[in-house]
Amino acid sequence: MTGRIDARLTELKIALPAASVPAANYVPVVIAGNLAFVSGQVPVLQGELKYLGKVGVELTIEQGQQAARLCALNIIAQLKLALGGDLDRVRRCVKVGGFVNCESGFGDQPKVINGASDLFVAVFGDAGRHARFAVGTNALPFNVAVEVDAVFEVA
Amino acid sequence: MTTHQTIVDRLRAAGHELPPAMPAVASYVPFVQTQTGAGTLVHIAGQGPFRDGRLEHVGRIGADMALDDAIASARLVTLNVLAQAAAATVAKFGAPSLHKARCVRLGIFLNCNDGFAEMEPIADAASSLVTAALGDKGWHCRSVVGKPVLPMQTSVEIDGIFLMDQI
Repeated sequence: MTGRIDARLTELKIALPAASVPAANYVPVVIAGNLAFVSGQVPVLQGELKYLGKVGVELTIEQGQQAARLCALNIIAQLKLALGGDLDRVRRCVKVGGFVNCESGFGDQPKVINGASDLFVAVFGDAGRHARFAVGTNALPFNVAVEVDAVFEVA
Repeated sequence: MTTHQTIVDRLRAAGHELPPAMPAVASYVPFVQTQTGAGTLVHIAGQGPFRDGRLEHVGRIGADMALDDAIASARLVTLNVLAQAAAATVAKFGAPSLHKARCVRLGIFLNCNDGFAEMEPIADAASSLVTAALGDKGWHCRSVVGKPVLPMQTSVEIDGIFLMDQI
């Protein structure tokens, strides 16, 4: 199926990563009415973890942004799977939660999470504009640099 | 047919007692219900490892708390989340009706050492307890993150979103 958003992804030369399957008793997406809640996604590409370590120490801000972008691509991949392949059912991105693995005193979390936010806007246009938080944390699963979760309105 | 008692029994079979819902410990409410087209969404405030009103697990995972204790802590916190969900069903249906509640999302916060990476077994203990209790309605999405500190030096904090059926 090639929808409007699929065409936009092609235009942006974006190939979505394969949606990863959770290892435990939870699911990537829960749709409750018109809201789709997406589990926290980490920067994994075709099963391989990317961008490990702290932003500002092992990784530059730019690498942190790339990590956030990859998390966002995984969110879109999970959403597409949950929506039966039809990303045109996305009405808007409601809320993005961004967690950055960093040292205490690091202040550029918003810049890092822009890597995810900018992607949502590039893909979904105005409907990709969202509320968000971007916070630092001292540890993330598997020592990844960034984790991003999201809530979307869907039809 | 699954009833509230079925869920209480499932927890008992796993060695757990559904606790009473804790009051809030500061200026907030333990849960808020809001109507949506799909039913009533319940937002549950972050819960801690309390048992009978007393804090049971204090410490930093990977520093002064072992993995086994962190897992026990995650289970206890999850029971307190389920207790709030049960209280929300009482508020909505007039009687404990956890069988009408579906877990939508858990937010899992672990008080841990810098760079602590082995969060999955701890978070899985919480997720597995929810699916063990609620069955098909227990399948939720989740986010798991570390924190350098949590309120009252607790080891684990979990918040949740549940959906209650229209009926």
